[in-house]
This record gives sequence, structure tokens and C-alpha cells, in this order.
Amino acid sequence: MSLRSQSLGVLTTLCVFVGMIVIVQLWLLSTSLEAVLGGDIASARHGAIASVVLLAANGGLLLFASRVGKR
Amino acid sequence: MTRRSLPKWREDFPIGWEDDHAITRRDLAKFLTLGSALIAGANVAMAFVPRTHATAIEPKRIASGASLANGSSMLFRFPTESDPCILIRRPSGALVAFSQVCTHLSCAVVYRASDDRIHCPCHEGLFDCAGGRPIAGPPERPLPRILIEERDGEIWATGIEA
Repeated sequence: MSLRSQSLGVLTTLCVFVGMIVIVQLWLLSTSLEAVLGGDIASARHGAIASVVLLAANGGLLLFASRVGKR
Repeated sequence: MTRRSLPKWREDFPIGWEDDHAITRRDLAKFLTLGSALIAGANVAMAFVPRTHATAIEPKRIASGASLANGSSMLFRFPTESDPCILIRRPSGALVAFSQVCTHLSCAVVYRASDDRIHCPCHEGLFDCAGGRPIAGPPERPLPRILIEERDGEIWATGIEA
């Protein structure tokens, strides 16, 4: 397997991971909105913190993706 | 193949099919991360940006005590015109008042005299009239209680018990 095709496979996997994290963040956003509307700010804050952690994970994956395939 | 021998269009678009796919994946990851940042920002703004609340609550006259029969209710707004509340005179004659905003998804609750309960018609939530505690359906938190007083035959709202 060539280095290029290996890079493509890694990038595809990274995209899938990043997409899955975005879907989880969307779910967190909807549950946080539900909590805020119900007056439960503490749950919304936990959701916001989790969303920021997931963003950091996405940033790490993006950093890794930018290095993959570069010679 | 030397650069000089490349066709003109290839000089303008020097990216091959395979490279094009690789760039697309990387760009997709960038756009998804940008979306991720926007979602996280919206979540943080929603949870941490303070909401404006009136610091001092002025007592407000709601109704005359005689205007509310046993087993009936009336709506009023307290402490601001944006805060709907419900005043209930229970069958026993006791007066209670709560926020009319359901603690599940903010629907308007109504008093049901037949079983002396507060009912949320959106998702069949039920609250007891003694303390506003949830007793059935999806709500998990009690309704905020409005403190009321009877002064010279008039009913006054004086505060909110969260």
C-alpha cells in the first residue's frame, strides 16, 4: 500500500471521527437548550463544558490531519 | 514529464484526482471543526451568559380575595409582565400561587379543580397544589412558588420562592 493511499485512509477515518463528534455536540446543544428552557442551568453548563472538550478533541484531530500526508 | 511539457490547463489546475480527494478530506475536517466550534460557542453562550433579572421585586396587588371562589384559579403576571403565574384557591379555601411555566419545556400549566392538581397539557405533567411538586409526567422539578399575602381583603404577590 502506498503512502498516499495510507494517508487517504487515515484522513477518511479522521473525517468520520470529527463528524461523529459534531453529531454528539449537536445532541449536547439540543439537550442543553431543553435544560435552559426548563430552568436547569447546571445541566446546561455541564453540557457546555462537554461540548468544549469535544471541540478540543476535534482540534487535535484536525491538527493531526494537517500533518498526515505532508512530506 | 517536465513542467514545460504540461498543457496550459494543467498549469492552472496542478492538482491531480488523487490529490483532489486528499484535499477535500482535509477541508471537510476543517469545515466540520469550524462547525464544532460554532456549536460549542452556542452551547457556552446559552449556559454561561447571565440573564437579566429584576433584583428588587415590588409587591403587586393581584385581585380581591372575594373574587376567587373555592376550587378556582386566575392568571396574573409577576414580577414582570413577561412572567405568567397562576393563583389558585383550593377547595379547602387555601390560597397558593405558582409560576405558570412548566419546568419541563415551558408550556403553560393550568389548574384542574376535579382532582386539585396543576396540569401541563403539553406532555401530561402533573404537579400537586400544596408545594408545586411534580407527581406525574416528564417534569422533574417543582414549579417556582409565588409568595402571596392577604391584606385587607386584597391578595398581594410579594416574592418568589425558587
